[in-house]
Amino acid sequence: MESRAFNVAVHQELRDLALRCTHISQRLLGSKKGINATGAAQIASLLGAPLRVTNLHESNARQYTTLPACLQQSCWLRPIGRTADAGCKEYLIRGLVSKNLVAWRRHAGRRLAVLRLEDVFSNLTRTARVLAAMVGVPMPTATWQQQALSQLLAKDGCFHGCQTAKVNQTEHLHVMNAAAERKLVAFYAADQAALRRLEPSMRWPRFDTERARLQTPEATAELEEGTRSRPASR
Amino acid sequence: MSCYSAASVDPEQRNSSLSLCQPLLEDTRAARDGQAAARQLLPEASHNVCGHNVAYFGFSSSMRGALAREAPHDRTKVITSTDLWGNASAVAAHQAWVRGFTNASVIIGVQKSGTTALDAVMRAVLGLRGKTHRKELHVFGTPRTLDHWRRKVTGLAENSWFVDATPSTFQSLTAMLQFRVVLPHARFWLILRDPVDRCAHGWCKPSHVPHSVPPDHAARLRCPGPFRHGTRTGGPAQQWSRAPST
Repeated sequence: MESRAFNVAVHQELRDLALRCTHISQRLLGSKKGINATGAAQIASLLGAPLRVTNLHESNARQYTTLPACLQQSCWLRPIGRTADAGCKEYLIRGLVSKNLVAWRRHAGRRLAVLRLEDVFSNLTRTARVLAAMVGVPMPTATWQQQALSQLLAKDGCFHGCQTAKVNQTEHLHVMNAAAERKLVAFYAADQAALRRLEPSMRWPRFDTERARLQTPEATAELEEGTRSRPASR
Repeated sequence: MSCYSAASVDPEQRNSSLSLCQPLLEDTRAARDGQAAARQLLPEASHNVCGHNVAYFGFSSSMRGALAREAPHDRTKVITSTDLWGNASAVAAHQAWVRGFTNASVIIGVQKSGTTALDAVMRAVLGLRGKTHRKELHVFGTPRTLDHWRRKVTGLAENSWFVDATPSTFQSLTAMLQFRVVLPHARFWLILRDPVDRCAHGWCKPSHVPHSVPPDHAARLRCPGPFRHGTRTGGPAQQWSRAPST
């Protein structure tokens, strides 16, 4: 059961990642044991692809692989072990997608389609057409199929019963303050830049500013392109 | 709804099963060291979580022998490549089955990014309306034999379609490698959203929220749906919305 506020949870999990999964904790953690946005970005850059393997017994893994101690014992990122709830708090790490996407793309090639949530639900008919084309079936025309799509729209895109099952939450747990958001944006910025190189349509406005601030070669090229194409003003 | 089997599949895609399974055969023959073979099969196996090397589930017979001597109580837990996939003839038999079963659509993730809704659209598109439908099967994350998968997939198929929307699949190296062999024709769908929103929404799971919240306070709040986030709302200040007070 999570009892922390969201901002506290973000901060503490970033710190856990730094302490458990990297070797830079001494540099990052000062006397206040804090992590700023720069530290969050550094932590993210040191993490590998969050891919899991299963069914490998702990003692065997300990004996024959180079697993770090945290993965062998109690880390919530660990890929092995008997307990199934080890990954219950992975809501930070699961947002890192680019490295996993490279692996899946190599595995599945053109059979993997990457969709953007906002695009999917902005036009469900178009989405249904795309899905039908990709799996090789005709567009849904039966009445119940049309009704199912209409119901989805009426539910505002959420099938989880948000207004009933998730109301048991307090306001202070929900507030994402500016500091937490800065850390999160910095944490995900490099991954998002890599994702844009893989899938150019996968972009969110929140990361445009951060991308420009990072001054990556792609961002610089885009900026220069924009400057060149802009008409000269007198 | 009629059955759309091999006839609806691109011929190029159908023939690709041979090339997809070929590395597996080579891997089985050359599996003196399970980890080395796994790295050859998928280089990402050596760059796993935290940047450390993590073993793949395939172990060679010689390594299994060593394990049996040194850790006899654990040897049943070790799975070799041969245990999983069998010899060349077993893989060839599986290929024959694969050619006849091409209707698989798998939503692999990411969690809290609209996989449930996408699954609903997918099922409407495919014409599936089974009432005993389970969205998340959670079966491919565990290594199993080819025989097991043939029985399982056939049993779970509805209207000749195998549909799974287990969002943790995206993070499972095991699932990725098993899909490569078990369902080489499967279509994969990955739905993404702004990771900051995804993170906040993941935290908002009911299991993360204490039950000791005063009901009068809690009833005024609601968790935002998937597409109240991001560009539609225009900024972080509107990420979390209040339900209208009564």
